[in-house]
Amino acid sequence: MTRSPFPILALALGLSLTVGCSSDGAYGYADQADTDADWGTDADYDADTDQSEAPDDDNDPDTAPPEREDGFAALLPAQTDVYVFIANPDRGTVTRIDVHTKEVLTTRVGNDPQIVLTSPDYATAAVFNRGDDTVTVLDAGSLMGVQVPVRPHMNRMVMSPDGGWVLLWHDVRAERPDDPTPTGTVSFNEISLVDLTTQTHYPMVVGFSPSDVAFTPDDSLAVVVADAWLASIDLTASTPSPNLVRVSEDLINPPSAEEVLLSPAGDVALVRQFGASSIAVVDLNTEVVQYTPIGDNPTDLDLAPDGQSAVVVSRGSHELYRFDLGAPFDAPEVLALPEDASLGSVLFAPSGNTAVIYTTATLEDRYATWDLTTDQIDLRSLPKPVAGMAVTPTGDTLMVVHTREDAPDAAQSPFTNSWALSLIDLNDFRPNTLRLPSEARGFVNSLSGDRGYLIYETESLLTVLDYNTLIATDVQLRSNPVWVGVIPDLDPTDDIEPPAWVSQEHPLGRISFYGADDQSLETLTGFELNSAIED
Amino acid sequence: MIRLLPLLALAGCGWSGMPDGSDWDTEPLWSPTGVVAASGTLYVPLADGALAYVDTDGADSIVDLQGGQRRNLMVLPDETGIATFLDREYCVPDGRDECADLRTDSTVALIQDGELQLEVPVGKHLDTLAFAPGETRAVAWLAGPPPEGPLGVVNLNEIDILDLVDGTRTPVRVGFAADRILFTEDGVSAVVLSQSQVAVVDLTASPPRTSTTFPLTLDPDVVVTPVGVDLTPDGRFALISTNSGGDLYILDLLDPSVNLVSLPGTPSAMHVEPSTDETLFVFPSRSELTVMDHDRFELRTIDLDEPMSRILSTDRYALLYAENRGRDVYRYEYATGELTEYRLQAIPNEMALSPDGAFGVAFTAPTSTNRAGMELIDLRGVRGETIPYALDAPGVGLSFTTGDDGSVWALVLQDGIDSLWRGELATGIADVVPLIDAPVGIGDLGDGRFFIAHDNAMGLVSLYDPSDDTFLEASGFALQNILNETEPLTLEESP
Repeated sequence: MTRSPFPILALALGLSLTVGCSSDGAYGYADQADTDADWGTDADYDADTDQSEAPDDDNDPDTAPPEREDGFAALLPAQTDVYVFIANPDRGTVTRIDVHTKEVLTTRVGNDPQIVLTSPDYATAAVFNRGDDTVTVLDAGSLMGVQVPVRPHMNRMVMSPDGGWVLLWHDVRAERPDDPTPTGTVSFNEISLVDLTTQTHYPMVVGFSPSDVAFTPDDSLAVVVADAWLASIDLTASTPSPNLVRVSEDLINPPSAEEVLLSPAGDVALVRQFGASSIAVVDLNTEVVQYTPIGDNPTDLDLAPDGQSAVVVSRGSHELYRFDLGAPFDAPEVLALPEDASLGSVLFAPSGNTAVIYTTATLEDRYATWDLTTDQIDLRSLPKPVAGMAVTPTGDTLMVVHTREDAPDAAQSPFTNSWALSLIDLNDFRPNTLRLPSEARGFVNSLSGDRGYLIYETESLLTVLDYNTLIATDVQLRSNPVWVGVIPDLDPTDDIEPPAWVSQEHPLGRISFYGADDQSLETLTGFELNSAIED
Repeated sequence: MIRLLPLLALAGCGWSGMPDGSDWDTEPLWSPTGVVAASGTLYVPLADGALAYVDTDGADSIVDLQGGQRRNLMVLPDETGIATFLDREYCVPDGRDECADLRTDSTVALIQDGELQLEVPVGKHLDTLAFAPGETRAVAWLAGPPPEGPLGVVNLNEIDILDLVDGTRTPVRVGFAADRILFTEDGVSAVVLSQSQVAVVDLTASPPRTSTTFPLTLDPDVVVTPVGVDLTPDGRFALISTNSGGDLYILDLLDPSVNLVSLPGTPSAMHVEPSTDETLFVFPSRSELTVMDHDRFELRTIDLDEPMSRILSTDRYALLYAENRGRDVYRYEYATGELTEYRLQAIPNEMALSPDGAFGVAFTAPTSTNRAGMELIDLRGVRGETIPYALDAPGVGLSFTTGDDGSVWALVLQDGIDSLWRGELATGIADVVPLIDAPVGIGDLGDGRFFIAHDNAMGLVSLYDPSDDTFLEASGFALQNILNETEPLTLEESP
């Protein structure tokens, strides 16, 4: 599972990826497999990272760094059918904005709220308060909240697909400079599981350095992968507890686990580890683990849109491995990738007929298209290397966000040393490459799939991408954007496109709503003052 | 306190010096610029807190303030009388001395037909009054610096809500340095602006209370001072510009919430226009007119040649001008958004619109002729003819009158000139009406007549009827109070 280098907000909630019902497939985004808040602000995606200055062997697929994961979001807004929730860490509050009436209410939560997640039924919001190690469980309608203490030193939180649980852990990759300095004893093996219905906290110990979590769609099972161990947690038990399964043959120096993927039935887990030459296939019922060879340096593990197969990209050996999840212990099918390109990530179109294969680890200005009906793989050129890719919800258009750095030996072009984005028609591969005014910070697609909305790191602009015409239109914002999202369509029959929203930098809070139908922009500023209104 | 009254001074302007150096007073006997009119009558502030009354026939008398000393005169909203703050000193005995100490009580007094009608207790540090629609309630607050002298301990965060029916006072806490007060059209709520916050007071609650307080900042180190304020025509939103850059605070009074709109800068003037439900802004350092709708609060900018500082309004258009700064004047049509530019010959000090909105009149600064001026702008056509006049002295007063034939006349007073310039705006026909003495102010009596206050130590006011070109004079009223001395009251004398 590859994450975008910028915060892709799959905020048509409920459509966000759940295991077995991939929103990768639903939207074809590279990153929508995550329903959590980890499409964030680039803790490990540095716009200043100059890939061209990487050590020489970084362009070697065997030794290049992992495919670039996105950062881990702080302050990612969450939304329900009618509300957008924005955490205000400096105030210890969460602001709820009714996107239809523009009513703004602010409620106190804990100290330093950092992550807000909402349940798919739009009824509950969970807020992780970093400052006092609590989770506030908010009723989305009444804003009544219950504070649940969790284990200290957490920095990530995900919600289960049904919205019944949140799971928190400390991810070393998500550490940030402004993290509170831990005091006293510090564990790197603990997780906190919170039942949002009963507001009950279940602390537990799993393997060292948990790195990824997956749930079954029915919220019956959670799996947490850590170095050397996979913990399965039966969420139907009266008191959930972890059952540990060893997923590394080397207990002394186990490879770093990077991804875990559950079969739709929830009986098999696939664990990918960086630098390993095998995938750990775990039967969660029998706890049998099979280490299936997958070539050199597997860099991506993804579920196909139909949920029937999983695909591993082995960048080092230029191979694709396709596992039949109906028979996951059988030997995977192997497809050869072009030898003259380094390709480490796979991204499926929602139709399931096409996938693109690319890399974010090296300055590679090529990608491959994979026709899944014929298994034909074709290498294609790009004007610049790739920072992230997404397929639009209709599956007709590929969006490529490029690095500012150019490929080695690239010819001078209008995009040299500039941020750029390409829209590529997946039918005829006609591109429109746009030079961007700044680094792309995030994007979201309209629910119709006809448009995309792009925001930037240091530019007060919202760019509206028309996926049908491949034409981009800029909308001036009042300050630099932070997050972008779209509102769920409450009435798909009314032919009205729900607005997109963009939260922006402002000491007292700012959010704009863009109506694509009439190209209007409405901005609310200063809503943090509402928390201090005495009524 | 005993004051020597040098009778010689009565012949001069104010008090003249006493050769023996005794304790004497240089305070003028009356305040010509403080005269207020109500229903064809005049109220004239006299020295020592006394008050004179001039009736419609020009007869003058002293208003019996029952031992009180008035501060600040305000015309009642229905113009049937005036309101004033009254301070009374009381002797507080201690058993040995009947006046061992003094205590001051303050009231707001309503005065009609020259007689005190109603008094409502009020905080003695308060100095300004505003009446809610319906005129059954008023709000008193401290707009200026706290008065000198002992006040006791007063709460500077409080204003007083006055019930003008039952004569009760309710202090309500609203925030420090209450500045301006607006009322919703139904008179139910008062919007009180103070330092860094805005309070909404429910005037109909029993007792009145602050229903909502809006903060203007969350940083206690930041002081946000409101500059301009108005309500949208539906009364739902309060629009508040502040000294903190271009932030315009939009307070939703119905569903309490705050929205900020970024204006290009701190506006020098704003005007809420009901006909189009939008607000106009001009800025001291930007050559633009900004128009904000009240639906989405979106801004529209119209470029000007010069920055503007004032907005005058009729029911059809706004007139923009730059006071003491530039010669451009703009007419902005509300319905069409059309902008018409006029150019004055000199920089305006002040402008006014005729009652029918057909003409603008500007007093202008001296030009190369070294003479103060006046200019008329004909706003009836697109051509916008301006007619400059040279004056003998700077204009100090302007009023308009409408003749029986519908003609509109301007009445202009010039500083130190004992005549009144009278000109018909449409034709330019003008004449000069001699005055009995040099004028210092002119005002509308409200019954078709005008009053002219003159620079006369003993008190002189002319009542001018333009319909028959006649004058009535009231004079010498300032002397009526000269021998009166306000002594502290006993507690039993409390009205």
